[in-house]
Amino acid sequence: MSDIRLVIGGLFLVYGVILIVAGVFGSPINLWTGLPMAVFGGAFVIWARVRRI
Amino acid sequence: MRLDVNLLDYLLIALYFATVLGIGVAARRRISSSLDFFLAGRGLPAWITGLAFVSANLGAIEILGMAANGAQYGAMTVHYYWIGAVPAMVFLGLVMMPFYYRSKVRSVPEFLRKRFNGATQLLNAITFAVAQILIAGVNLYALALVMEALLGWPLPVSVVVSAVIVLSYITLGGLSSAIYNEVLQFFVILAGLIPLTVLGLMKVGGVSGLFEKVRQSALGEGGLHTWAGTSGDNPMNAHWIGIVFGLGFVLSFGYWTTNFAEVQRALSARNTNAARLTPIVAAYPKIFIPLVTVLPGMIALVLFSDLGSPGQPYNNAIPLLMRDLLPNGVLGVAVTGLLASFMAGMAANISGFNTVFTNDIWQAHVKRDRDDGYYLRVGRIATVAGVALGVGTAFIAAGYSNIMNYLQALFSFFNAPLFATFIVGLFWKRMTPWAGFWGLLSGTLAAFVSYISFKAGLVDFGTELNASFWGAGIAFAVDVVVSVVVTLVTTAKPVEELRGLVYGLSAVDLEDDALAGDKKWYRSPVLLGTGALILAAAMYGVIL
Repeated sequence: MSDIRLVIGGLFLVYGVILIVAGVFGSPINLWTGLPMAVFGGAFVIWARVRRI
Repeated sequence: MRLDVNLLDYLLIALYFATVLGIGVAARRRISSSLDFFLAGRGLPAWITGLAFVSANLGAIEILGMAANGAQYGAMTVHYYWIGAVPAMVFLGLVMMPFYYRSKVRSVPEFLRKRFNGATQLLNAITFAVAQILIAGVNLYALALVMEALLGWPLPVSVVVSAVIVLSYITLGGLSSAIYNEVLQFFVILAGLIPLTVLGLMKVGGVSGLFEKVRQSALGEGGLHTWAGTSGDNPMNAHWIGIVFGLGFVLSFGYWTTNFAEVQRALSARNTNAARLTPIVAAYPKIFIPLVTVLPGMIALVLFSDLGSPGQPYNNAIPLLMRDLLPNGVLGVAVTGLLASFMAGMAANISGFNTVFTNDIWQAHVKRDRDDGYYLRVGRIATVAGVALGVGTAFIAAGYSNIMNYLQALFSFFNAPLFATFIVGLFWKRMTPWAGFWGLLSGTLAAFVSYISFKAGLVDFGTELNASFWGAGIAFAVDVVVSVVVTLVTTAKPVEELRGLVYGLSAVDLEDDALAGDKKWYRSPVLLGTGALILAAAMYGVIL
């Protein structure tokens, strides 16, 4: 928990997945917002894993 | 107007605040000294302090307010960003930050004690502390109003719930948790505003459709220009001289270079280079923020024809778009972003307040020479007291909202005399300690007097905006004149005591704190700062 990048990445991954699920069963706007959020979150997690502090 | 939030939205909101409190608990474990608590141990990289720097100013009042200005004045609102912020942020990073950071001060008032004397420090500390509490109260009240309007929560409940959340994460984790939350909030607010803007643009037929509809709106052609109408008729009734000198110089340099709630973010950076980069890194997102504030404001103007009428104030621009464009889910993200940005704004006020109260009032003038643990405790108590006073102010604001509007307008140019004192003191080594005190006192009083006489109708500056340009200009001029006159009749500090505090007198015993990699081009403050200035100027080319 000491790295803020993991916190940002983690929250956006969770948000992204929730919105993707909500989008599949409902409004496509949720899907199109959730996808980039999940990608963004994943990128932050990878960044934190690759270049550790 | 009420938003139709459902369980899904509340789930997203709850997840965010669980994360915020988690950051507070995690940050607490790393706090072992008062430096950790007040300046995050001076260990943060520039991208974190830079995003916190831009976020500390990205309160929801700013977001709702700039969208409201976008609807009311159109494209001219971008002046608040491209000329009213970016040049001052670059100046702070390139010219002033080395003095702040390398003198190892913990706050702006402490710098004033080193350059001038204890009296100047105390004067600035008290005005700053009072202003922060009042602004925190205004933030809290505005937040409660939005929660009441959008979610239907009663006002007292919203005030207390938000105060408790801010209080818990700052008392636990100090400045680190405030800064980490600001970075997180920055991304969440964008995640809410970007879909809102894209959907809005699609609805009005793209950029060309928007321009076409703005031309036919109450705003007309003037709403699509930034400089073109500024020597005659324009929506803001502002002349280009006022925009360049009033907004671009006195107001913005005053705010961005001396406001401790902002400067504190840079002081927590890990070395001089990162501190200098902080406001410069912040300038880049700042250039593009109008795309998700001013632009949606203009979209709201053409979508809602009653916007700006008594029943539908301009401040409703973004909430109206949220209601009509966002489905449950993304709506929850957008509401989270707004709530988070209110709390971040208040957290910046409170973390600035507790540092200045502990360091510049209590430690410097009341109880000196205690151990570090003592001041850490004072800092935590000051946080609790600051939040309690903020809650009190919020309830006063609920009863007398006009007074609060006046105060907010007054504080918008409160920093102009402080900037005058800084600029004279930094470049003129002869300026004496008492010139610092009397200049600042008379400049601050001049700001008060000019604003009160405008409000009482004794002088006519035209609009509120022009009143703040003039108020700031007068306060700046009075400060400079009094500083020069007092300098001529009092004794200066010996040059040896001014090393590292005045331009041209470098400190002899400073070690170089550069890290490996600081020489790379993407960590060069001069290069990135120049880039930000060019980019801001180029943006005006897009909408002249």
